[in-house]
Amino acid sequence: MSGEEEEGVERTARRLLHAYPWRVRTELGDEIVATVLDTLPPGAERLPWRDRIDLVRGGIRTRWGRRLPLGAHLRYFFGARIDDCWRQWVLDDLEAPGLRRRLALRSVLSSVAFLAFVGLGGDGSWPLAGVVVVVAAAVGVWRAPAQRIVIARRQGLLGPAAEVGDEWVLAPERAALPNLPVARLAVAVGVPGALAGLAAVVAAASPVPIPALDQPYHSAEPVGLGLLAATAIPPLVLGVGGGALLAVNAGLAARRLAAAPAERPVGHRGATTVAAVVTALVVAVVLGYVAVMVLARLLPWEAGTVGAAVAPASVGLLVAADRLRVAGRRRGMPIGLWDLVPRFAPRRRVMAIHAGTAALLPGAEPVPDAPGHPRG
Amino acid sequence: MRDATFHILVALARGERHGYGIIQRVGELTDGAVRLGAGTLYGALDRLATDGQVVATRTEIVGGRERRYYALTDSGRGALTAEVERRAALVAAAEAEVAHLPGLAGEPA
Repeated sequence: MSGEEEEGVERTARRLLHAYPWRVRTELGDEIVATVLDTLPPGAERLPWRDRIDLVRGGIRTRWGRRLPLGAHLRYFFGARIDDCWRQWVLDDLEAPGLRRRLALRSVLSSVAFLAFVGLGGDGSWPLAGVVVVVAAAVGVWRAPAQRIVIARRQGLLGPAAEVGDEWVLAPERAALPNLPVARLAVAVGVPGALAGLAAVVAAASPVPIPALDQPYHSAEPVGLGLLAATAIPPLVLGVGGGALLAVNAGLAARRLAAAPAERPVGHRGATTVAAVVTALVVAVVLGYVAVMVLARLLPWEAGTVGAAVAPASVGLLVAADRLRVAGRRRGMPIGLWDLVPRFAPRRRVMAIHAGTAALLPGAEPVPDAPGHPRG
Repeated sequence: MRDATFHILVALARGERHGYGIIQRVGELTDGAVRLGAGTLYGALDRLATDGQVVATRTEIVGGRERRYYALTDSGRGALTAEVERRAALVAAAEAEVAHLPGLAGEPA
């Protein structure tokens, strides 16, 4: 068999190797291909169909043999800790390429299940359902790197130094972020509310109904105080939170502006000038208006009433979201609400890493002097 | 136990072999009747390794390619012995039944 033909067979075999799980492909791929070449019938110019089918079947069998049982799979999907005997499976899931795709798919599946449970997706509400699914997929893709750490922590692959034992290796100090979920929730709830509020305020205040869609928000009569109060409680809650975020971020901005030039973050693309802040707000208002107009088509909202109560929170939340994003980029990791207020920021603490998961935290090294280290 | 798994265990009975060596041995033991494919081989080896019946012992570089050697563990030897006994008992029972087939008693094989 000529070298070219052998290369062709090898290429075909490597393509078919994708039937095998990633871990097996990485560790045994070369060996399997070598065995395939060894077992070729004499005079064969291409990989026979029988061998191709055999390879694919072997790969499927291997995947089946290594599969997580349904119960464990569901628990893993919903973020519950599964048995330690499946630790290798978890590691493979987190280390194999394509994590973004897998997490996006899981996001989409959970959102579809949620929509089906809630009853959205029929009777013309499918545009909203479609938006939810697309946003879920985008969030899955976007948050994959951070989610990897979260999953590793949930499955017991990362832990506090107190649990160090024979198989644990200490990592360099990393900040712990216990309040991150709360901060994220605040931003996730606050930002859409802020956008809608700002846009609705503009729409309600404009003397001319802007001809975007066929729902005018220009109210001809004054809205009653009782109705306003009844519909404004959730927005008022948002408003209080937004106000707090605004205060915190004002302090952060003041601190940054007061810092010496050498202390300013490198590569920071934030809004430290008034002009930049105003530009960002104008853009946000326009986008928010469009978003409200689109959402009004999908939901029966009384945007004018809600928007007027949300308006005070809108400014604070928008600025806060931008600050969180910028400050997170500077630190190289997303930061939580309490991190913005130094008094409440959690102290750094040492984390222990299972020896097999060092790949999950690049730059992790054993710290020989730290207490509890197996050799220390 | 699947046939392919059984063949692999038998092929490893006399000592460690690498992947292609196992395929060759299976061919020898069955007079060429069974041609084990690479896909089937590694699928079964993965399962056997997970169950602790086969273990990878060493790696050699032959002709620029890595060859990993596989061997039976004690558990694997036990499983092989048990399976041989099970199949032998089945064949013995079958032979006794075949002897009763009309027209076949006493004819040469």
